[in-house]
Amino acid sequence: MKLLEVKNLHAAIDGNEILKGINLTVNEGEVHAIMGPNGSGKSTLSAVLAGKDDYEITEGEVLFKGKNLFDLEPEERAAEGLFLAFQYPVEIPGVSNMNFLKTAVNEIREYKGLEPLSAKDFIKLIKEKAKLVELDPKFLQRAVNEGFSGGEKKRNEIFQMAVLDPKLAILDETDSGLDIDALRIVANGVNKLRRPDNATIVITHYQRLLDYIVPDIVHVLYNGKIVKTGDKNFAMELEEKGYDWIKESV
Amino acid sequence: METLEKNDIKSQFLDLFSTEDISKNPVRYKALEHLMHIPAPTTKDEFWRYTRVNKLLKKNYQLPGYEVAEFDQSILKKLPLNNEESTLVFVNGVFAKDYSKIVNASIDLIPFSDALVEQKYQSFYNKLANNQKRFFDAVNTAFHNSGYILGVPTLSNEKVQIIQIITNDNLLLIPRNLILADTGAKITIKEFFINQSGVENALINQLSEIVLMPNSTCNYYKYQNLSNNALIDTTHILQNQDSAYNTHLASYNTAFIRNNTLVQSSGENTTTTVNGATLTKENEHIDQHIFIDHQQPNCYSNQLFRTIADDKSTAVFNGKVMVRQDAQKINAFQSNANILLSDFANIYAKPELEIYADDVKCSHGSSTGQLDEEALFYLRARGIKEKTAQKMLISAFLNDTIDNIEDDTYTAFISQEIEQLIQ
Amino acid sequence: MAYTEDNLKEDLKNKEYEFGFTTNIETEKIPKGLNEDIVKLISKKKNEPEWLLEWRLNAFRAWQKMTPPKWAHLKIPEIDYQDIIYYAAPKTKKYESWDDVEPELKETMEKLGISLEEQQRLTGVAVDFVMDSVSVKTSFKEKLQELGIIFCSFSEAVQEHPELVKKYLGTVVPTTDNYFAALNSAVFSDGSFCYIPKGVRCPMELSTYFRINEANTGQFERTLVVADEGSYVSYLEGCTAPMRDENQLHAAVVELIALDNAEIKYSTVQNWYPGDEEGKGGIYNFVTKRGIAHHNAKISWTQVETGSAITWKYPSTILKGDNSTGEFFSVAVTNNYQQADTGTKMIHLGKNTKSTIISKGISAGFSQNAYRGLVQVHRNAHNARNYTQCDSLLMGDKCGAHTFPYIEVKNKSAKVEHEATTSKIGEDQIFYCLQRGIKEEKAISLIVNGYCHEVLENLPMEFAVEAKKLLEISLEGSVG
Repeated sequence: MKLLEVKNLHAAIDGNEILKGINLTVNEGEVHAIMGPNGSGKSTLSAVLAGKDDYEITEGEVLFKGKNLFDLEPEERAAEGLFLAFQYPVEIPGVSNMNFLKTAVNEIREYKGLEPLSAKDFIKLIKEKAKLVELDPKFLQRAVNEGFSGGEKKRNEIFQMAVLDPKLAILDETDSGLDIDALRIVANGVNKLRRPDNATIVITHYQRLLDYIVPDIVHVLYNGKIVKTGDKNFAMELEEKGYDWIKESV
Repeated sequence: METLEKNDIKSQFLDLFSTEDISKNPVRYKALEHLMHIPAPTTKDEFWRYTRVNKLLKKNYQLPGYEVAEFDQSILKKLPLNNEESTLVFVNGVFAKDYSKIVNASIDLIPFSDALVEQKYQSFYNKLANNQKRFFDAVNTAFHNSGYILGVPTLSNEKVQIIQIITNDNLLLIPRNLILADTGAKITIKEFFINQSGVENALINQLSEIVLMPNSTCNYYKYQNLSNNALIDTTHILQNQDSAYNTHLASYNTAFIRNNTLVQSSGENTTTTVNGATLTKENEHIDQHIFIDHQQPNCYSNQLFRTIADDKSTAVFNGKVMVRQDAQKINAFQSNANILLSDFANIYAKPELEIYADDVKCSHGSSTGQLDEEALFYLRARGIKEKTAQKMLISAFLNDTIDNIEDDTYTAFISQEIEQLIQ
Repeated sequence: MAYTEDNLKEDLKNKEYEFGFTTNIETEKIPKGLNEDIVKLISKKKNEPEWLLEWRLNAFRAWQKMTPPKWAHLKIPEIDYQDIIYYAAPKTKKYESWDDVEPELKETMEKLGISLEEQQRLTGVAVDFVMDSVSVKTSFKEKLQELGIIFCSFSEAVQEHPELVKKYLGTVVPTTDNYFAALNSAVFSDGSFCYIPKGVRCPMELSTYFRINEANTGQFERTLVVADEGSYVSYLEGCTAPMRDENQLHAAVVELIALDNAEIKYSTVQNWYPGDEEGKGGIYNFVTKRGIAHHNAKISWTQVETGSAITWKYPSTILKGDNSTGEFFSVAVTNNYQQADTGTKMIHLGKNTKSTIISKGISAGFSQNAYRGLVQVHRNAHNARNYTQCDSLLMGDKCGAHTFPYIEVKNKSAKVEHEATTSKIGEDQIFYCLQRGIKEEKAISLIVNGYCHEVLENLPMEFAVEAKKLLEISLEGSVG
């Protein structure tokens, strides 16, 4: 089943067009990798999908689970099951991870017409998911991302993903700033969450992460367009040859 | 004109100056009228909370003469002067032509004259001074007896040196300056207030109006070293769009200084940097007062002040940032650090923010205390004597403020002076 | 159509003041206006000793010569002090038991969420409930008496413990301290008195709820808390006032005395009626609160200020004794046309004195919110330490947030640090919450509560919950 359909998507910021006609279809059970050099529009794509209002959609449409994504507010997209693991997770001083997640879980449940989770069930859920990403439960009492190292922040993103259990997860440069151990933990977490009825888009500059999260389909984004698509071996090829040959060939 | 009560401290001004002369000039006369209604500031005025001027105003003063007085020329040699820059020298406020020179005929750089103002600068003159409310502004506008006019045309880049030398005790010197940087022009002014050794009890009340046209820059470096004399220096700056004003105040070795740096940012995309180093000793009193008024969006301002207070001296920092409604996207910062070297010294700091727009980033930090104990220990652990280590840290502390000065000779000079002062 | 900030604003603009109801109890009043006869009448009605009448009259005479302070960043309309009734008391004065209290009054308290019965049973908090001016019910008295703790209405203290009142009244806030303190000293009607004996740790939070009920009745409470050597007390003060069109003046005085090694924790939730969304009505809250900390003593002020049309308030600590500590934790929220000028004074007199100031200001609507704080280190206050953190949050482009710190240091061994920031609520934080499925209004309340966390965590548990709720209510309709 089609989860995400991006059709001829154009987006601009302050009048500069960044996305220049993206076409992309993601089906349930698939893992897509979007690679590309700096400034090609990778982060813009994830921000536009999540609904950041700095960007102007100038053309095209996006369907998520058959619904027009641009009719939905950011929190509605989240409640529908779209999850963005931020490249730069935001610090929210004074708000504990626990409180933050509890609010998110229950707001999403409310959206779905479900009763809020009891404190007991919530804690059970949290503990279970914390194990998945090897997260020390002490983290839960700390303020959201405040004073976290780069690796801890990324791990916290995957932990939130585990708790919120999305249909489509977009990992935006989740590997940046991670050492090899952290990378392994994060990738393990993501792999354990893979199911036939959900999907993942991994956005990355390097092939490294794809050794751990093996994609079904690899796209190269360049200058606001997907210029090449291939299988997982294509990513290796990119790593060897760099992006220059792509730039030359388009 | 109304009459003043006998004991009003303003009466001295009226006795010294000829009311007849003043009444001939409508601008001076108007200011005099205002002055009759403004009481001299007291510590009950919020802006003068920590600084008393009553005693200063009660001293007896004399006006400068008309001739250039003899002076010890070695004091000029000590200054970091550049022979290739236009220079005005004033002795007791009197323009000393023989020591001055203009290197570029296309600029206006001349002693202040009411006549020239009327001809050429009328639309800029006396527009920023607030004679209705500010006592020392009104005094200056009514009675000014020295100063200069500097007009720099579009796109030119000029460096100027202004030297005011005091050689008479009890001198009452009232310089008035008008500075205009036309569109795209750049002006760098180094201003030196110095006195001949042993001269004391002079009072200087300077007022400068600086108008920065779009895309112009003014660097104003003020050197204030006046021994046992007093200086009240008010600088009004009007910044149009894309203009930059950068100033450094080196204020030390002077019995009394009150600086008012008053910036109106009335165009978008302006930059304002107000830095200063204050060092007070004995019974000295130095008060740095800054007000940056952000009236338009997308501007940046930064204040950086460092203070050392020793003996029984008093140092005051009062920096204020105002962001008006709709002046969005303002980044305004203040940093003020003070160190007391004696148990009889006084530090007063009042870093204020008054913000009426929401999309702003404004902050201030103010710290008062001793030298960093750990840094001190670190230096000593490397074999440096405590006294030396202290001096190193103090001079580093004050030198923090001079990094932005675009004149290496001047920067080196200030740094060296600081070094000597903390011996 | 998505639910935007503007929708939220519109929806909540007309939300009625939650605690805006009036209680219909007959009250006994004296005529409007203020003169020596009124002062004498108040004193007589309360059957006060001669020295207290003299004290009041001295204050009144001083007040007549004073003028209202003008230095605050506030626009205060002219107040006609002759148009105020200076004394009102519920006609039924004594209740033998809880059953004697009028059902209406009980109902009022229930609406306020402070039902005595419930609180007695569930929380163990002793409540001294001030309805307009006279204390109507004091609970847990016997239990406290066993420990020698005195907790009663001010009038009762004057009758039963005159020696203590006489010894400490006006010692921290002199009658002539300022215009409003002088007024209070002349006409104060009632308030609370608390004395903790040497070495006693008060086993429960002492709490007082204030409430202005009678139209045109100024309320002038007087609170005096004395913690004797080595004792401890946590005192809670909560304020809610019913909706009124006319402005009402509230000029309270609170004096805290922490003797050697004693500790007083004084917490306030202030939610007087702030006026409507057009700035009509609301309480003028002109309060003088000050404590004195003796040797090794500690005074900690925590306040959550969400109410009042105008707030003029600077809970202060005089650090007189060596090694004494002062703390000030404050959240001040202004919305619509509210104005607040609030902060603290930390006066370091003793050696090794320490103070901490954490202030969080939130401005919304057309409001003005100013922090004003003084840190003063005197000549002999060796090794004094102060840390001040002062943050302002702006919500909307029609409000103002201001910071006016005064730092005065006369001792070289002092360390005084002040940091302040002003910014708007983080858009990236809001978006992050949205992306996790949290609605905007919820996201804002989450972020604001987090922003105030450092202050709220200093409140006693039962108060913190109420305070968080208040923050949400106060900011409703202000997102922008």
